[in-house]
Amino acid sequence: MDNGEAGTYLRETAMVVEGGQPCAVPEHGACPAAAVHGAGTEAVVLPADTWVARLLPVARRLVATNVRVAHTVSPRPHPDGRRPGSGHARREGLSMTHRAATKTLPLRGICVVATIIVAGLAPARADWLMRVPASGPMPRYFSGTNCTTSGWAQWDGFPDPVHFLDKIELWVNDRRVAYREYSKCFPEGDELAAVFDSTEFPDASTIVVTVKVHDLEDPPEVWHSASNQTPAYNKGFVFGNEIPMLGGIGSLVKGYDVAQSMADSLRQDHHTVQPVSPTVAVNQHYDAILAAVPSATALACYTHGDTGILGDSATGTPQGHWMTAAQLGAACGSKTVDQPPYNWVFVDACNAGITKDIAVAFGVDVFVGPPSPDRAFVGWATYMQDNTSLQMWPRRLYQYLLAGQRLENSIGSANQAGKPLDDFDNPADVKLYRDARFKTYKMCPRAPRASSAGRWTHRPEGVRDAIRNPTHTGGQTSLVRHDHTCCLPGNERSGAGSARGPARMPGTHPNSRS
Amino acid sequence: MWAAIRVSPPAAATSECISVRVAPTNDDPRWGPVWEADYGPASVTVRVGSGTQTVVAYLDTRVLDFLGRLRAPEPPEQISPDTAIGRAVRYLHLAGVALDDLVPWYVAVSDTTDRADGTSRQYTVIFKRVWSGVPFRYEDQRVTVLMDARHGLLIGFGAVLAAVTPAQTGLSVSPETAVSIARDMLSSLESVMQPAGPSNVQLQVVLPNGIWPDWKSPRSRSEMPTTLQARLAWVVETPTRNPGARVEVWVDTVDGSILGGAIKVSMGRAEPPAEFAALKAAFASCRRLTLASVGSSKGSSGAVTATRSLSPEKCPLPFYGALADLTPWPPGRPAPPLRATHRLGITLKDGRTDLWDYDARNGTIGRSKKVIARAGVSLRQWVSPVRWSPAGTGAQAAPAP
Repeated sequence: MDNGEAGTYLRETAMVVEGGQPCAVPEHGACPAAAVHGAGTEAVVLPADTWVARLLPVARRLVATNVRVAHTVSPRPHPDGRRPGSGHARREGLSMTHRAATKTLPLRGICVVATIIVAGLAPARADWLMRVPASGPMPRYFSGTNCTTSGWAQWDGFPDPVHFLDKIELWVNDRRVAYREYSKCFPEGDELAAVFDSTEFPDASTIVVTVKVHDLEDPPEVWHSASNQTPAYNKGFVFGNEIPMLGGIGSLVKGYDVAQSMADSLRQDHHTVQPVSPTVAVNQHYDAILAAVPSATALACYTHGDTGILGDSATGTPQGHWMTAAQLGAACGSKTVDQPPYNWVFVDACNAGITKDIAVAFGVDVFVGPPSPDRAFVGWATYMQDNTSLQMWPRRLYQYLLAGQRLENSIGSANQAGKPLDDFDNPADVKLYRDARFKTYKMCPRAPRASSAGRWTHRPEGVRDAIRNPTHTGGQTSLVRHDHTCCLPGNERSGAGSARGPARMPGTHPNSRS
Repeated sequence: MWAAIRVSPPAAATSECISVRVAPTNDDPRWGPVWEADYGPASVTVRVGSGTQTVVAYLDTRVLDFLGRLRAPEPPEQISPDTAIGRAVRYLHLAGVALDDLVPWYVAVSDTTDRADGTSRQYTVIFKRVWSGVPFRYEDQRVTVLMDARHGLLIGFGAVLAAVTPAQTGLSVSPETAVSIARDMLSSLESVMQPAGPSNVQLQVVLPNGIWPDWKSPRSRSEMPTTLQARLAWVVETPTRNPGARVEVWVDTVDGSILGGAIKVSMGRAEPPAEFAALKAAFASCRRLTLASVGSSKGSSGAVTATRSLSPEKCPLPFYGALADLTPWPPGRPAPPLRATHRLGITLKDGRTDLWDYDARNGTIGRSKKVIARAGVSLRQWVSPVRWSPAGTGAQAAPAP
């Protein structure tokens, strides 16, 4: 169709609108390479200026009559076989919050007219298809410090009209966690992914992930978005061993203080901590601990221990019990599908880390990657002594973890101030299993980590400061941001997600007609 | 870098520095008042003593990141313990840490993870502080240096050295009197604190914390010092009725007042080797220490070449200090071969002399080439005094007195 044909077509359409008489809806294949896009309060006509001039009155009329086009369901199958639009989204249980998708047509006649117009002018099913996550269903929860989310957007302008992405952003609640801008070449669709921490958000709070796109032809303030949501799951369990004289039922003297400080640290980490009070935490019997294990995703304890076994709050007295790694593993194995696996286990007890038995029992040491989840187990590999040096060490460890340091750095920082003394008054070394680069909190939004031989790649630090203080310039990376100055095949930059297929320069789309 | 941070806190905020703050308040008060500065985006964290204006702590996460890309060095690729100590001394010297009172106490390579890499396999060098031949308690004063095991690159260090040295030097109170004072005090407490065995006494320098008799209060349970003015004290350690518990009562050596103490409970079921009990008993009833060098050259194997001695009458502080801080070699940890450089004679109360082998290279004590214990830093200092070279390039053994 050349410009002349398009002009005729537009004139006919205008007549239909003005006259209020329906007419035959042109085939999509006969649609000009122009699109009335967005169907909100504005319409933009592409590509020829003459078309803009001719179509604008039509668009204005639509706006004046408060008609919003609801082109949410396409009766036609998509060329690749799937159903376009939010119909496709609904099928996967996803939501689509496109402005147009929520509007209805007030009057049947106008509806018919608008449908005709849109079907003719702007291939009615043509719009930005968006999905969160980019593929697969939304997880049942976000738990831990390696929560991965993604968003996908694609112009569904079959058969031909082409729209291009100007910007795409991924938001987690009110924070933009990844974005990409295109400056010279613009794709028809793209995908963004980011990793974030559920510990940035209170336990059980709703985490809304939103993908936003800005069409190249839209005014700057017009964005299209789709969201999906799931709850945060951050539950901690803490117990200690303390002598009765200090409120416990055991034989140690620092259990209350350490349990309290560890619980406080987990709360700062946005965990819901059970038991609520340290007095209860130092009165946990064997069966109560095993019953509480499945629901938690973080565990910290200060008690007796030995290779592959862990004491309860009463261990060291005749009433005490030991929990074997097998029993702990069975308790963890009884988690339901709504109870995420453990992310963090710190067993402040003798020999708990001398083998990986307890780490495996909690499922922390199970290798599922790469990329593997951010999980870690920390325990001592020797006979420990309940003394002030051991009391202070976990406090220092959490202090640095809460400051955003990685686990290996936090251990270094805690050791730097002095290693705790073991049962023989020798400096003791802690043992960690799984991810040495584990973090508990204040993870910056970041790109999913590519794995190299199972090794984590570097995570930018100091980014949280950049997020909270835009003037901060110390961070190496202020956000996961990638400018695609050139995204011709083989020449894209990778990073916050990968482009879904090579982006193309405008006019180079294989289906575009020139 | 060092020039930038060895200045007063406000001036520490150079263009390289991205933040300066008072160190976290929940940290150990034994650091004293310190400023904490970050250089680069969380790359280097430095603590500067506000009074001493020296670097008291340093952690370089860039080095950790760098080392994380390397495989863990195997023993042949690692630097030697002596080299590690020399590197540590040099780093501390550059940071402005006073080395005069420091004696290396612990040098070891350890792995933090089961999947070791260049980051997790580190050298740890720990120095203890000694004053007039008497060691400070480890919890109160120590310097820990963490280094790469392959090259000795500095990862970080922490120098907890804010204590003010004691003003008194007298030992007006005998160790026996100190024990009776401590046991009397414990007898007045609740049943779990009642003495349940013989006490052991050592001379140490402590930072008073005043946990007795109100040991149950939250402040006492933290065992944090109430002052940075150190005191010379008899540290009386007594087992109590609480299973596995041992309590320390610190008795002032001048006036017999109780300065504080500590409560320690064994969290496992560990027992020190039987030989260590014999050595500890010998130290407990020691009345005189003698030291003889063992010839190592060909033709003189085992020959005793020189003899020195320590007695409580002539030099009480070094004598009691040398007997302090004996620690058993941890069971299960591989011990270095014991190659005796000295023979340690312990004259007991009954006049007998107990002989033990001493390896001055690593401060270990044992018999029949088996390491049983590690000597305290004061004993090490007495056997082979260390004078740190002015340039901080390493240790130089001073001639024996």
